[in-house]
Amino acid sequence: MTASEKILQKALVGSKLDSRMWNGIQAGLRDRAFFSSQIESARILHSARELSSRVASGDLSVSDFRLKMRHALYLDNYDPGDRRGTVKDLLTEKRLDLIVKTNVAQARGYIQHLQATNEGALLAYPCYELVRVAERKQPRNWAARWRNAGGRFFGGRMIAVKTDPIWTRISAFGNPFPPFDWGSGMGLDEVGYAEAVKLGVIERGEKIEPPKIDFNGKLEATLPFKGHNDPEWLRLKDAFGDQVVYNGDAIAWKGEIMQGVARGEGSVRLGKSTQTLLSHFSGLDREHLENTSLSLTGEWVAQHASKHMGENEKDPHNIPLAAGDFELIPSLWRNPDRVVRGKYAGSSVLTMETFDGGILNLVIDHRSGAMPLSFYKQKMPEGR
Amino acid sequence: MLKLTVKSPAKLPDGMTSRTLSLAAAQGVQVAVVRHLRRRHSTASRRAGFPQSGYWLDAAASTATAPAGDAAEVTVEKEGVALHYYGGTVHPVTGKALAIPLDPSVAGKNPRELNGLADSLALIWPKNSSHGFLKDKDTSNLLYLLVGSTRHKADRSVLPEDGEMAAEAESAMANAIMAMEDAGK
Repeated sequence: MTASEKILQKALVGSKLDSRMWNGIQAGLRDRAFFSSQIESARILHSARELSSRVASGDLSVSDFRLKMRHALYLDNYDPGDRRGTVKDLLTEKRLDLIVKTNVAQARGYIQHLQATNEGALLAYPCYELVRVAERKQPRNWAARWRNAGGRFFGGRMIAVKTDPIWTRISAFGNPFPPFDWGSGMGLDEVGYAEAVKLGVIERGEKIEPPKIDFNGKLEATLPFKGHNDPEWLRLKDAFGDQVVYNGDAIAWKGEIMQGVARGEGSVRLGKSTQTLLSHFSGLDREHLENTSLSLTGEWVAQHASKHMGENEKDPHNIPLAAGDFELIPSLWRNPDRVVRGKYAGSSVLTMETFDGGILNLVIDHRSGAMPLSFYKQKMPEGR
Repeated sequence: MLKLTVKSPAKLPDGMTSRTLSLAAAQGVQVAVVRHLRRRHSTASRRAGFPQSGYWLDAAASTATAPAGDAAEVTVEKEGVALHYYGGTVHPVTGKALAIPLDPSVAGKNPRELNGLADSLALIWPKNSSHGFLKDKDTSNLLYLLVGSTRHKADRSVLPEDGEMAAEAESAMANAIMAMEDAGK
């Protein structure tokens, strides 16, 4: 897995929560979400996620990220209101840099940690050393933070076994890998087995077990679902509404379920038609849509993915769909930019413009209980 | 992506697979590359008045290695690193010219980003000249030099020398073998 893929794996989660409140969400769930403080729009988050992944793969500069994000914000009719010019304003360089740099740095830190804790790497280099990698005008006192978190010093150096909980304890994000805090300038160096033994960090012959990784190659712990009255579950439902779901005995993001459906697995119900959607219809058409739900099956998605994803897209008027585009279907269903009549009687096309110059089209049969008919991405007509 | 071949010992300790040893060697290469790029960050020369970009630190953070048979593949997923390493000519993709910042205030910024915000730039392109400028409409400060293309020489010092990477890979393998033998005692 690459850092770019790691970012794309995260589920889009829009919410009013600020960064402090997000830090209160268990790391196992938080790390699987792509979010930004107080951003609710799926379109903005989708743009930020897809563009961040391109920065992580080295295909896009941070400046181009800002440029394209401002276009996405324009499409979303974003208005910072009285936050204009502050770090809460998504149009500012500072906020956009924060979004991309944090996401890319965390994904890269994750990938390097995953690699550094495989069996061979752990044998050769069982320990990390916390080191300053970038100078800061006013550096924080990391030695004190290390000591207060229970860290030990070896020859004045902050060294611990890679799987030691100290790494999570010193992190503002609850992760055992950098970045450990906003703009900290701290990073990790590797300490080899012989040196670790010599310094007394580990004993001769001590074997460090690799951390548990789930079948998707993820390090995060799963958050168990303990029932509808569990205070943790109620707190999450209160904060995230229907974006948080339980999948068997684990709590998950609905976006993750959508990602599964986009891979052709399972199915998902996207809830009843909203007033925003209904406002685009009138008369009998509106009556047909009222109180109807949209459901998608993996089979249906696989069928459309086989026509419109990647190299399968043969229509020159279209842009190939990316896996992440399927995650915008719930937003298209709830809050489309426009609704136009489809080619066939009883069909409607729900549309949404995207940051990459495309228009997502979800075609439904609104007279047959919102049956999905097609999903593809059109190129924006010239001159728009 | 680069491939580096390292020598592995003929005999492995009991319970150690060649795959485990390859993972250790690949990690050794990773350690060498990351340390090298961090050093490059701390010694990189900076244009007078310009902020430190953190470019090479970012490159260090984007480094990944994976074993590939008896070799280790090194990937640095940072835009422009391949150009630094292999060299080449850059042509504009979206506009008609490449913009090179002349003023620290626009370092790391695409001119379209500035114009998109305030339509604040004016173009100066003298007749028959191979290059032009973008200036700030308000202050008349020259912000960017505009050129049709830029040529870059290959710079193999972007990565450590093969010998340095191989030495760290061999040290990693020696450490892994020692750890395995000690654990079996």
